[in-house]
Parts: sequence; C-alpha cells; structure tokens
Amino acid sequence: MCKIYSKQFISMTAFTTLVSLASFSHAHDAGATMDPDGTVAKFTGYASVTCFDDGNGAADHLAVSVKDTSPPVPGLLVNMQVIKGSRAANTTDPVSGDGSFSPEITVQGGNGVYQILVNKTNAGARSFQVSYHCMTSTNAHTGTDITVNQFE
Amino acid sequence: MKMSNRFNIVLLLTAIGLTAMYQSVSAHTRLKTPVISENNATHGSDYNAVVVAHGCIDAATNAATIDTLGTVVVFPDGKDSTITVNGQPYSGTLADYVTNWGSPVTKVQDKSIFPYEDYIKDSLGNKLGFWTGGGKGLKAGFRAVVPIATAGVIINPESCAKSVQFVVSIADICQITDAAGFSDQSVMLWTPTVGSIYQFEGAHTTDSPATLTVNRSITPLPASCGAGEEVVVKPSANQLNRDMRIIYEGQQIWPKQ
Repeated sequence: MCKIYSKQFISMTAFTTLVSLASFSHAHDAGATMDPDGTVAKFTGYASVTCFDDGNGAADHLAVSVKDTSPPVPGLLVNMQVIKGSRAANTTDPVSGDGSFSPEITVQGGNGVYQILVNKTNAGARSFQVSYHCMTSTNAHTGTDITVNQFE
Repeated sequence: MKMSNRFNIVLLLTAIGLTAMYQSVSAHTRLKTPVISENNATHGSDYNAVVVAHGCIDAATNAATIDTLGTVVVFPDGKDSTITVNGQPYSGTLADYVTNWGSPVTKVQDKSIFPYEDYIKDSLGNKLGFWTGGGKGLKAGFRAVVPIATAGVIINPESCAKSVQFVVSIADICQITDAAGFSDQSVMLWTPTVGSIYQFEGAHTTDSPATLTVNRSITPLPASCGAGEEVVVKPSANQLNRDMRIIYEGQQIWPKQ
C-alpha cells in the first residue's frame, strides 16, 4: 500500500497552475479577469486585507492601485475602492491597456482589516491587476495578508 | 554482575520501554503552538507547525508501529461552520466575532519528510488547509514537525469574545483506503465528531481534533461584556466531506474512490 501511495505521488509531474482568481488572492501585486462572459455589469471583487506589524513596524495606511490590462472599450473602465472604518477612497484606471496603474490611493487606518473592492463601469470582460501594500508611517512595507470574500 | 542487579536493569529497561510505548500512542497530533495572540504576526504570519505524534496502530500489539504516509490538515471555513459561545450554540455568523477569517493557513515548503504537498482551497482561492505526503513517509516511532504559518486573526472589537478557538481537522494517513476502510490501522483521524465521513466508531482518535486558540489582545473587552465569551468554531460535516481530500492533477488520491 505504501508503494502504491508513493508511486501515485512520484508520478506527479507538475502542479496545475491556478490562474486568475488564485493569483488575485495571494500576492501583493496580482491579476484576475472580471466578468469573463462579458454580461455582468455589477461584477465585483471583494477582499479583506489585514495589515499588521511584520517586524518593519505597525501599519499606518493601506496603499492600493489598479491596472486594466484589457484593450480599451468606450465607457468601460475599472475602479478600485478601499474602506476602513469611516474612511474610504476610490481610484479608476483612466486608460485601459496602456500598462499603467491608476493613481494610487491610501486610507490611513493603522493595523487591522481594510475592505477592498474592484468593479467596473459596464458589462464586459476586464483583466486587471491590483497592487495592495500595507505601509508604515515612514512608507516601509509591512505585514499584508488577504482573504477573498467575493468574485462575481 | 550480580543476578539481582541484572534483574533490576531488566525491570528498568522494561519500564522505560513500556513508558515509551505508552507515550507514543497517547500523544496526539496537534499544532506546535496551539494558543496565539490576536494579529500579532511577525515576518508575515505566526509561524507554527503540525506535529504528527505517532503512526497508526497495529491491531495485534495495540502499538503505534505503522508508518505514516501523509497528512491532511483542514481549518474551518467560517461559512457553514458550527459556532458555540460559552458552550451554547450561536446562530449568528463568524464575522460577529472575527473580522478577517477566510484564508487562515500558509504551508511552509518543506520536503524533509513528505516530498509532495499542495493547498486545499475554497472556490475563491482562499487557503483552508493543505496536504503533504509521499516518499518514504514518517517512520513509526518518530514524530514529524510540519511547518506552517497562520494568518493574523482579528477579533471583532465590538464583540465580547475573549478568545476564539478554531477546531483543526487532521488525518494522518497510513494506508490509502476509501472511507469504508478507515480504521486505527489505516488512518489517525484527529477530527471533530460532526457527522462527516472522517470519523468511525471506536476510533483511537475519536473526537480529538487539534485546535488553534486566538486570545483577544488588541482591544479591551467592552465594559458591558463582563467576563467575556469563549467562542469555538468547528467545521461542518459538509465542509470536511468536501475539503478533506487529497486531489492531485484532477484525481482524488485519498480517500480512495
């Protein structure tokens, strides 16, 4: 039985690469595709980012930005919001597919849980990348964790 | 050497042997650090480990002498989990007590014992657990320290929780079987008794899961809370039946289908 088990494992060649959603959920700069069928204008990605002291110091703020990597479509832009407590901010990538991120926005909420949202202005598939980094008061990167709550 | 001295030595060695055997089957698979503080992560997360205590049990000798081929670890997803507060069922959501639960564990890559490993994820890509196994496995009589990191947990500051305990389900696999083949000889199921397929009558490990307890440490209890509440989060049978599996390249390896 042990042999069988080992053989099953040894025969494995490579792990399946989980694209889009998984990569969105587990890096500080990552991407995914919203509304892949192009029919859901209200499509929203919703995640919780936890900021903590990873040895670089307590978090002062969360800085985020978004980049729409799909070709331009009139009236179709990607937005990103960040919320913590009574503070919130919004940013939009004004030019799709140009390789540039939106203006960076920050919310100053210290350590703790920030809510981030990614959405768009109309129906249509949008591939995007997000950047999210918990920063200290001296702009040093510090502990950043994420949990994806919704992607639909 | 006098006969009486030889006899004493034999007695001593026997006692040591019996003690060692007793310890080897009485230790449970647990987290190395089962109690942590709230969101006190350093260098990315709270570094911890799953300690595989012993192998499976030989039916003839009742000793834990069967090697372990791999282990599967699953944290509650917090969505369809069972929550109790001070021992009483709670019908609200986990968000009432914890504001950021969802992707609780990161595996620290380590091939020193089991050369293969991968995550167990939910449909959103959150990491709810992992499996590791293969190779020559863990020789009976030895322990394994399987390194992990757990995400910082933040207790809802408005809640009365003074601690939140997450029940962690672990299967130490000694033989690849289907669920009908689960026995003390094939698997050590350190799982809660919640009605899943990962329990069986008379198991050595019955209702003896690992736990991770997070003590409130960031915000003080609201004055109205009194002594505070102890919250326990268990996975549902549905979650265990769904998540506690080894799937590789699209094929389920364990439990055998």
